[in-house]
Amino acid sequence: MSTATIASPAVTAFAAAVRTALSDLTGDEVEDLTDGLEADLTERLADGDSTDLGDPAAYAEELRAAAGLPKRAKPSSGSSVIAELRLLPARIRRDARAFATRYPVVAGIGHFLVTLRPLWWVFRAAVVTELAFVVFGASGWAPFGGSTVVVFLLVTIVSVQFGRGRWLPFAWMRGLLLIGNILLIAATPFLVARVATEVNNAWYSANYASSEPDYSQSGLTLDGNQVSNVFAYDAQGNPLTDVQLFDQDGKPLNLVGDPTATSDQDAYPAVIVPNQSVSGRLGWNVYPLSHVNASDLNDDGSIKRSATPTPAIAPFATAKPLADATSAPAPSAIPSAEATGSPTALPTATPTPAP
Amino acid sequence: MDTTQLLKGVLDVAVLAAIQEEDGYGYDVVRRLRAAGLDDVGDASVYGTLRRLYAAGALTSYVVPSDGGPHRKYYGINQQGRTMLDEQRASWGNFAATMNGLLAPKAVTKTSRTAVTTPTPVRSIGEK
Repeated sequence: MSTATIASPAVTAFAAAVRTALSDLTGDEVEDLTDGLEADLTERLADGDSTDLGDPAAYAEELRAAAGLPKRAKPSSGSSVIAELRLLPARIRRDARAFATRYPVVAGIGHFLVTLRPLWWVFRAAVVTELAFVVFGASGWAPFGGSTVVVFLLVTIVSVQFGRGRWLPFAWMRGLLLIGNILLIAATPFLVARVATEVNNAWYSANYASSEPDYSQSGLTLDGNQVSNVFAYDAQGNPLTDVQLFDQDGKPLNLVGDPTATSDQDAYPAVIVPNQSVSGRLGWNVYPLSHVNASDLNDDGSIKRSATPTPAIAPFATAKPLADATSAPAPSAIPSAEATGSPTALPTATPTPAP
Repeated sequence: MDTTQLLKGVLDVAVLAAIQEEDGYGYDVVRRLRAAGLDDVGDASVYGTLRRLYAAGALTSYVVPSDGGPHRKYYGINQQGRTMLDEQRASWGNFAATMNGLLAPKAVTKTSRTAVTTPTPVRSIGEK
């Protein structure tokens, strides 16, 4: 017989795990079953029978069955937190199955989500890649920026393999993966916000950064088309001249910022000029604007003193009077039908004076 | 054949027999059974059986402390255990004889000489 030796930590831990697995029994029963267990285990190891003590739970089951005691009925409150946590995933799965059985719709949604799992594998690879670039302080946004593509592809391979249950030789790696997934889900909103900002910035700078001021977008536009003149009519439908228009902020409703930049002087030798009668500023909002010939402009865009601006051609000689300005409304409500001017008389189409 | 299944039915009598001459503690009994040829016997099964026999009143038990190490729990057979062992030894003897008879080669019987050439053993029994 071998002499008694001090129980190793492995033996002590194994014996404790066996007692935990028997924790549903009374204290006396557990004591009776496991009294002297450490000595037996220590001697078994010393015998060189095996270096591995095996699974404590299976050991406890065998002990229980041989002793003629019933199988573990319910986990007692005395069992350790770790033992409870180990049972948790199986319990969640069981409860989920029961729930899905009761509600077929839930089962359908569950199957649908399971089908989408590969999407999650790729998405989490993108999140991990983005996270890595954030942590290591690299600029640019994953997964489509330069070298990030390579990193993203590699991470995707690993993520998909993990998702398929590959490359996880040890059980603890699955636990780690679960924790990692939870952390990734928690980090996703912040990363998405960051990516959205960067994408927005990238798009903005690509479209606007360092581009020249775009005069085609300045001034007054209507449905995307440049408004080159405005004609005002009074309540009686008579054309008004020298009407001053302002926007909601009181800013002059200027059609253009720079007439020389917008006028196609090859096609239209006439140039729109501001009203010269407004003191202190140029009368770009005094409608209708007048024309001068291109040859009447100085090199700096100012009008030669000798030039005489000609009034623009109005689209209508008179507009339809407003309802409360006439006793009998006209049958047609469309202003253009009332127009008596030349049909080709676009404001800037010809430099000739209005009739 | 799976001997672990066979062991389950005879573990009680095997454990009783292992300690009939000398008291033993858990792993000691396991070692004796393995030395006797029961290689597949499991530690926990033996310990559980010892506890059950003790609870049934067939064994005595006492703890032997050891210096600086875990104590050992020894088991010894009592009169009730010896009675149980005798009964089970007898029933095992009958059972084993029955099984041996059932499993013995048919060639040992006299009339089976002709039976060897017959296609089915059922007919050879009918000819007896």
